[in-house]
Amino acid sequence: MTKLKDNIIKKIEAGQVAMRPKWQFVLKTLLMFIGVLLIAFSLVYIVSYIVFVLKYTGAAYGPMMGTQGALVFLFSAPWTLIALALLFIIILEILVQKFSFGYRKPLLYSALGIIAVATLGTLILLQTPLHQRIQEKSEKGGVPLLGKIYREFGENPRHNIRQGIIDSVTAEGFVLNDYHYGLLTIKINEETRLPKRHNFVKDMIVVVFGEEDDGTIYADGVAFPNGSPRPMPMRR
Amino acid sequence: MTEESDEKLAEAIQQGDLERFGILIDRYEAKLKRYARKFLYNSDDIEDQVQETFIKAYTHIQSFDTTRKFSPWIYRIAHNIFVNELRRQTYAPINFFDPDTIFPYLTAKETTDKATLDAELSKIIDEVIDILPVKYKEPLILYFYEEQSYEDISEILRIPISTVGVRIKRAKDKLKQAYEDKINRQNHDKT
Repeated sequence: MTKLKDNIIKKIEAGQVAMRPKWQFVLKTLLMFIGVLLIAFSLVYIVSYIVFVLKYTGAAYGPMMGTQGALVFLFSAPWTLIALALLFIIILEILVQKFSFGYRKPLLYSALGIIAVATLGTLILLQTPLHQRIQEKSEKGGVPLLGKIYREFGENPRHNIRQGIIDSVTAEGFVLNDYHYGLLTIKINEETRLPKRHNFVKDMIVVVFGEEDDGTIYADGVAFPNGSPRPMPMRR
Repeated sequence: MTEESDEKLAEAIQQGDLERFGILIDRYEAKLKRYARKFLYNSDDIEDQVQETFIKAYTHIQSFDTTRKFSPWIYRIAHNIFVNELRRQTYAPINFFDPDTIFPYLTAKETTDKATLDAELSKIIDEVIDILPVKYKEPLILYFYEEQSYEDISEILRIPISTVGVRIKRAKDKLKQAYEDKINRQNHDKT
């Protein structure tokens, strides 16, 4: 028997070294698995909320409106939430690397897998009215914890974006009943970016990009957000 | 009588058989010391680190899945202990993501001419291995000295199998270059 073996066996027999029970390892694995699931669900929730907020505020349509619209998108995007989502992706990747299905393949595969799961989960969650309902309740003062976040991102003044229903059509454009700012005169000119088949009619939901000047907007662009959520008007 | 497999021994240890744990120590003591010798700079640490490896293997034996291979499992424990000791000695930072592990590699496959390479490279390895960074040194040691497969090395180091091949190839290239440089310097000094 070598000296090393002798030392180890003596320590075990003296009770200085003891086997840890199996349930500890099972519990650790279970907790890690639950942690992965919780972070994955949180990621899906955050990403779906980012998409909801972008559509709710109209910023999602900015990139379609050229450079000005792209700048509007950049200023209006919920960057705090986007940074949080990226952080969750990184944490999830670190956790996934603890499992053999994670570390046996190149990191790129697991990262793409995480993004795919987040995308699929987001598409499914956006089919439900969850975010819309929370937004409506938060604007009425309900929803104790999340309400503040929904109000913060949903109600803040949007940079040169207006979203609402066409109240009436005019010779130069239309009058928009903005969900948050009330009636606004929208003027369209040759440089205004318009979607194909832009027949403006009353009660149509539209998103308008352009600087407001005393209740009038010379539109840089107009978009039809088909399927976009329809927020409740603010209390006045 | 056929020798009991490591996995069978581990299963018996999980039931409280201390004698079988002694057999595992007999089987792995020399291997782990050899592995540690290539890894750690201070030889006084080797005995302590190998002892700690066996102690940790005993305390964590219930976490071992007896349907899987035992060798990568105990080498993984040894790897973690040696790496921690090395970091303590050299104050090296912890990397969460290694660039080598991000992308797949198409050419890094395990070759069948290992026996031929052994004869040529073992002399080179012994003379110049200390020039290699740990991330290249370790898979090389595990492959040529500890005779682990690419799959087992992937389990031990928790890196993709394709990355194992890439690192071994790079390690061999660096060693050959270092050896050639050494020979050239020796020839230059003679003249």
